Amino acid sequence: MGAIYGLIGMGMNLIFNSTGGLNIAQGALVTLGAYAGVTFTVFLKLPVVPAAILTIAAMAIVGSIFGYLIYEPVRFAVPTRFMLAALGAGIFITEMAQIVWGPIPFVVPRFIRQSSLRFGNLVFDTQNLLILSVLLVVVAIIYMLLNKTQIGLMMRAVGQSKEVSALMGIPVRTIIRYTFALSTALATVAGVMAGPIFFVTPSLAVLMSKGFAAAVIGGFGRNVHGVIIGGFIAGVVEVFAAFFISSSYRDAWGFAFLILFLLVRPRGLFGEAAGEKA
Amino acid sequence: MLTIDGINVAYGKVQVLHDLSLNVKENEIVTIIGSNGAGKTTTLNAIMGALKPTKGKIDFLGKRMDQLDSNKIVASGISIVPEGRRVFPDFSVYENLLTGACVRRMHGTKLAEVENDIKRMYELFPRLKERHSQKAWSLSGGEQQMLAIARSLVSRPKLLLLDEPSLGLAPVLVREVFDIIKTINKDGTTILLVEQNANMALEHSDRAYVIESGKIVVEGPADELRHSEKVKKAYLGG
Repeated sequence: MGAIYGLIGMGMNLIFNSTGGLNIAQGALVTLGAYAGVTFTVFLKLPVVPAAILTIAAMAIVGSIFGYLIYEPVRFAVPTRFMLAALGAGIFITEMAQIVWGPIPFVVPRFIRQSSLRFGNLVFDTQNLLILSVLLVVVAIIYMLLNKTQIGLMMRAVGQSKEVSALMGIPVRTIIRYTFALSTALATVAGVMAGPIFFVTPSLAVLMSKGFAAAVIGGFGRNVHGVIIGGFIAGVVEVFAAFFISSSYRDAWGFAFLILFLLVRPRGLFGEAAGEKA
Repeated sequence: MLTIDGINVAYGKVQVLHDLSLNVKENEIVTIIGSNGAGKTTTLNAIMGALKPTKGKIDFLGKRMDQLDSNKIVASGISIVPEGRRVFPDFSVYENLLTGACVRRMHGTKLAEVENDIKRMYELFPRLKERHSQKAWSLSGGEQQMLAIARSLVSRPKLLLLDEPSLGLAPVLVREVFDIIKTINKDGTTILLVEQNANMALEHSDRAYVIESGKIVVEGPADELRHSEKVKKAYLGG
């Protein structure tokens, strides 16, 4: 669970760094990504790997179009305009998903048939191990992309100052569109991974709030690992509270922890402090 | 090299530049002096494509530039050191220098070639070499100014625009920065400078323009302007 929250939070963090606004539609994009996965695997009956590649590629294009239609018209306005535009777009996407794929939840088959692996006395669910492995690969890819490539350098530069980036000749609008594509690809990976755990329904969009919690706990900013750790913390708190206190209020415990966390450390575990020298 | 011909530039409904014309010849150092709000920075922003003129045109090396995006303008050989340094605070010195070469990298320049240019910058600014991995926010004002100049030079500009390079610097650093500007010019880069420290700017320039309320009101050789009574009274402290 924590890995999925972390992936969603990572996408939100990327957009926050580039635009200064929260993409409230990230949950809707998770839903759309999960439905796209269902379409390629269940309806078109493609094998898992090509289906995953096609789903992520198609959703990256959707993300780029989302950035063009939803962010660009309000890019000079205060960030809350983008948040409101994203809220509206998120509702639209979720409702459209219900119209296109219907209200009945889809059951996505497990990616690995064998259900568990035993290491001595320890038994691991293969689906969870797969999610963890995918998360590690995705984190490594994102880290390399942001820190070792030219496009990553430009994404981080735009995150610090769009105005100066433009003066340096960085094509800011194009870079932001790439960031939306990348963020939506992350939402899609989360949606596809969540498919076999939850049913695929429009209500998957509520995972946005868990991704947000992961980003708040880890700290919005230019770190990659912080949000992932935040996701795991959010997941662990939920599971423990559900187990030891009450499972009926599983989500409530998670948010109670988030509020407590905001009171104690509002910039998150790894977020940058305000008020830098330059 | 650069010709600005009768441009009007506005922020929304407020017109800031009125029929402004100026030119810069190859290998010159040209200064625009003027008081706060006269339109100096707006002129540089218009050259860089951040603001589009509503009238007139800007030519660079015979090619019209005034409706192009900034990345195309940088690619054609113009680079800017923005007012207040504006380095990327969370980037190291090295990463800041790499951002100066983004346009070249997008046009296929190899990283090794850019790193050679960064080595040359470290020879020109040895203090930056010492601070190679240090975050830009932790540098002093003078070091940030050197970084901002070096970052612009990594793009290999033919024309370098400098917006108030002396702003906020101690007098000893101001002289150092102007000496560096002179060295860059001697190495073949044309300079267009915007400066409130008129004395220092005129001392280091070939020609100068005086701008008031978005219009050029005086122009001529820098030496001549230094001795002009009007300029002395308005900008050189009497």
